[in-house]
Amino acid sequence: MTFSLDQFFGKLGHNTIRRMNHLLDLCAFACRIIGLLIRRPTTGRRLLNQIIVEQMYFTAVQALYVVVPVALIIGTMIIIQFAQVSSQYELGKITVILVVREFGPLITALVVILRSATAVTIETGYMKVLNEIESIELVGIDPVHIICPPRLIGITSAILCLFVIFDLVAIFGGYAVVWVITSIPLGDFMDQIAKAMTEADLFVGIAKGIFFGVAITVATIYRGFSVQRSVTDIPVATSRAAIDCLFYCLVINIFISAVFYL
Amino acid sequence: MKLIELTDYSLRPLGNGQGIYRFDFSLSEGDVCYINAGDDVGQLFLRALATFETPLQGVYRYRGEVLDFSDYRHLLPIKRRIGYISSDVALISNRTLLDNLLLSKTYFENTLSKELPDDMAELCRHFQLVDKLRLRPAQVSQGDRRIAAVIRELGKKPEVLLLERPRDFMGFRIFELFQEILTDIIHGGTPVVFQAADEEFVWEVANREIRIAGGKLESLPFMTGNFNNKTPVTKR
Repeated sequence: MTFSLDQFFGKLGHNTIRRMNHLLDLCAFACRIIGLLIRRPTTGRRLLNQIIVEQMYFTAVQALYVVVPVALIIGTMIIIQFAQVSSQYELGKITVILVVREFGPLITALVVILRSATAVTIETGYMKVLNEIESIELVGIDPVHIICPPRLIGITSAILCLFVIFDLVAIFGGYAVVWVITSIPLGDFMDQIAKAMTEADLFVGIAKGIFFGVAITVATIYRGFSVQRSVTDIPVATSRAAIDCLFYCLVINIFISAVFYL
Repeated sequence: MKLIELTDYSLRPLGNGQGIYRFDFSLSEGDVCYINAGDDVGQLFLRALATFETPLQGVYRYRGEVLDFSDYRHLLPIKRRIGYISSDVALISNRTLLDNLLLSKTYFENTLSKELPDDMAELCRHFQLVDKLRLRPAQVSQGDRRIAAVIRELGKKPEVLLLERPRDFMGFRIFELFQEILTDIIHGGTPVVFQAADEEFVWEVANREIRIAGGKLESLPFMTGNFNNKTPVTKR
């Protein structure tokens, strides 16, 4: 079997076009959902509100059992390690930089991807395979309207809330754990954190929460809708959705950090 | 006025089945059409009437209005007016049977009221589903899920009723109950298109035959010879 340069560039071009098409499809899908949010159709608002509350309960409240211990472990780990490296100097600043700016949003997003995003893809995929989407259409309702905007609002709000909880637990819970085994004074620690926190950190947290929420929701539902008629498509779609979400969140994270801090 | 009119219509096959090509079809009030065709083609035709299949070519008119298949959202108001009872229909699995039945009311009337409209409540009593309304589809039998789907479709007060093998779909006991309602629907003039292997049922209700074979569709009056040389039936 010979391998020519033509074939190589042909495959490269084909894959690039395919990926670009996928990205454009995602953008179009995101625009459609955001368009529905902006237009706020008058029909079905109560039903949508009910679904938003259910989604927030599933993504935020039920995820607390995972987020709180993870935040505590990460916070403790960081404070212990950097207390030794920096000999307590700049400890608060390092904690803010690592927890608030980077780890907080990313680990929160990771928990949401693992727990909720995959579930949304599976749910949507099953709805497709079991003809539930067609059944919604039979009632005269646009399935995109009752599936996507509530999940976008629910997941995005949940990420923002979890992100705040993660930061608080990681910093103060971590400090509480460390305080038992070291002699870091609370006053100094708090003072350093207060000095290290800027307005930009607040905006970055909100921006990351919103963009992560949009990226995760759009990628997961898109993959769910892309399931055809076979149940065996669902695990494939779920796996792809999880990888897509992680990748998009990492890219968004770098982009926002670069915009605000470089 | 013709309720549904398909002109120069072609449909691509479902999976590896057969398509239907370049046919004309119309459906008016009082028509009760029996589809004489293989399962997959019959299902394809019913799905096409329910606007689930985008045609390869041709025009679909509903009450004289040409339907635009370029965007599924344009078809939603039409789907709402068609009762489609087939093996394809399902309930939303993470909602109770009651929520499923109330979906249309909840959405269009913007209410979270859990009170069924009178006609649906009557159908629930008729099909003995009242006690199971608070359960989710996975918690009830397949028969009950299908009853709920039938009630949801009938509750729409459809202008056209499409049925795919109703006796097989519903089971014997429910079908007996359904037949009483169907008789009223037919007597009310609502057009019905159905596929069935059930001779007695076809004989009892059909007044037109849609014969689909070799990719061609023919519409004929229901005649002697369709089922074991029995005499034709005159309706209404």
